[in-house]
Amino acid sequence: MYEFILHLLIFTGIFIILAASCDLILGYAGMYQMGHGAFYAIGAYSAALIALHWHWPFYLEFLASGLFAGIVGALFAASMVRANADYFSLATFGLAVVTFTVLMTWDSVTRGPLGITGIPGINIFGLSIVTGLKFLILTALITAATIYLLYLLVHSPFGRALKAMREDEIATLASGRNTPMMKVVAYGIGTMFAGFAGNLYAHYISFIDPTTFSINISILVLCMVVIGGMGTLKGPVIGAFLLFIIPELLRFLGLPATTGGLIRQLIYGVVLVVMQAWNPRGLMGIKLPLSFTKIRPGHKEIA
Amino acid sequence: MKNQMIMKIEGISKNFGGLKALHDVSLEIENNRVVSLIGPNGAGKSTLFNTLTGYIRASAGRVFFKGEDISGAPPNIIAAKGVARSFQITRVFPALTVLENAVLGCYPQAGENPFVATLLRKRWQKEEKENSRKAMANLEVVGLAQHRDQLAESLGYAQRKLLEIARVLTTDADLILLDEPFSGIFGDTARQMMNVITSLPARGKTVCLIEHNMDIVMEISEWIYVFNFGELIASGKPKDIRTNERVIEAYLGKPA
Ligand SMILES: Nc1ncnc2c1ncn2[C@@H]1O[C@H](COP(=O)(O)OP(=O)(O)O)[C@@H](O)[C@H]1O
Ligand SMILES: [Mg+2]
Repeated sequence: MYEFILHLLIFTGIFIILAASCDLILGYAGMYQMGHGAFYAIGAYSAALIALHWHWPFYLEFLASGLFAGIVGALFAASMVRANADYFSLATFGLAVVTFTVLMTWDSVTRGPLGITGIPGINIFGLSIVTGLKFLILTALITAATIYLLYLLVHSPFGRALKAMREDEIATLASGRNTPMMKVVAYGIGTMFAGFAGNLYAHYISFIDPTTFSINISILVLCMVVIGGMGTLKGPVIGAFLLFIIPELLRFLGLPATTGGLIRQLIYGVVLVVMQAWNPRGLMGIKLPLSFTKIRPGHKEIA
Repeated sequence: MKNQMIMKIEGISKNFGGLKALHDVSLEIENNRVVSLIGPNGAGKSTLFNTLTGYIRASAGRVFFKGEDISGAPPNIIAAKGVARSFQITRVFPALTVLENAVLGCYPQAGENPFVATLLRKRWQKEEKENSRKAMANLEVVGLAQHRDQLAESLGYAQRKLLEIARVLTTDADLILLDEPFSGIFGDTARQMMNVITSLPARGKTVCLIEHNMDIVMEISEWIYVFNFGELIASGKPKDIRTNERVIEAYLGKPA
């Protein structure tokens, strides 16, 4: 039981990092992010590969896996940023699908469906952190650091400019900001943290395979943000807690695993629909316009 | 800088499909003036603002700001060079406070760099104080200072227009383009807006506004440009425009 609680808390931490960083992109910068899981995967696979092949010190490997995810994220955003916002969100979804396919088929690197086994635990200056309480403490520290950095970001002029862009991109341009660049930077930072979460996951579970990184994980993270509340930091933290812990507790009802899985999906779906109908701001967040097409420069919009 | 031209527009045309929204428009705006663009609805005035500020690419022609060719530059670059604007349909940031809205006029800000935002907090916080002070001064000017901590979405129509102007004033731009700042504004608020606008040349700013209310235009403008069907049909001092036959015709229609 004790071990199980530690396990739940470690995962909660990982999901808090994912949801909060997704919210920087979704709730603050106002870009629909349906592909956060892709960067979670990139972080996890780069952590695994670096740990197995290059044996870098943990802090370097940790930074590298996050930076790599963030750079891929920034490049992706840069290539898509001029597209209509609806296409952008579709592209993030596509990216999640493509990432899954790449993990499945690029055998020589990812070992395809077999996955990568034997990922070592974490070793920080001789202290070995493999599972249990030590891993929870490390996860808690990294989660706290993530929330702290995101807090500093969103409560700074940087965060204010992101919010302005989310509220009215045309007016943000009119006050001198390079909004395409801001989107690239926000997306890069958000996806970097997803990479950090992936790194922790790979070391904790010690075995990764593509099934963890299907489109479901991106949708789960999106649900955490939307249900908890976009555009706040409390929202995704609460969302991660609720959406991860509650379904886990269902296990105690003694349902067979497959039924449990289905019920979990059902709960996400129902909660999401109910939240949207009852309170589109989520538990604590702001309300995003449903479509961003209206902020695109074009016919009659810039009156 | 008196008597110098802050903006020169040379032969701007803009077609939307078959529609000639602007046809070979050339004009110059003199430094430290309040000038107005007038003309019937659909004459192309807003389209001209949109081409000057980079939101629309002209089909032909050039725009010079302080002697520099800015034709085809993106809106943020033109804004950063010192051309600020308001929009015919008011644009404020609803979920931000009144003060935050105004402070967003300040650009560039060191704290908008994510590294400075997180690692060099002292640096941006110092700058932030100065920016807030400047923004407050402009909120004071438009009479919104006491609403500083309210969300912009809680403001009424007229107050939103004033807030947009406060943001524009906070930009430090030398040329301010206002698209129908008086629409839906009456009485004391209109008077206040007129005072704000006419005080700007003394602050080293040039104002070009689009306006339909002729009493206001005649009172505050030093020079007027008249548009009809995408063409500049007349320009001159208010008293000359008032009696110009082409202008009267454009507004009242051709006499039968
Ligand atoms: N983005 C656009 N696409 C197509 N037509 C436009 C666009 N913007 C303006 N127009 C048309 O151009 C003409 C001039 O419009 P506008 O500049 O808004 O006039 P004004 O501001 O003088 O009332 C109008 O006929 C309008 O319908
Ligand atoms: Mg107009």
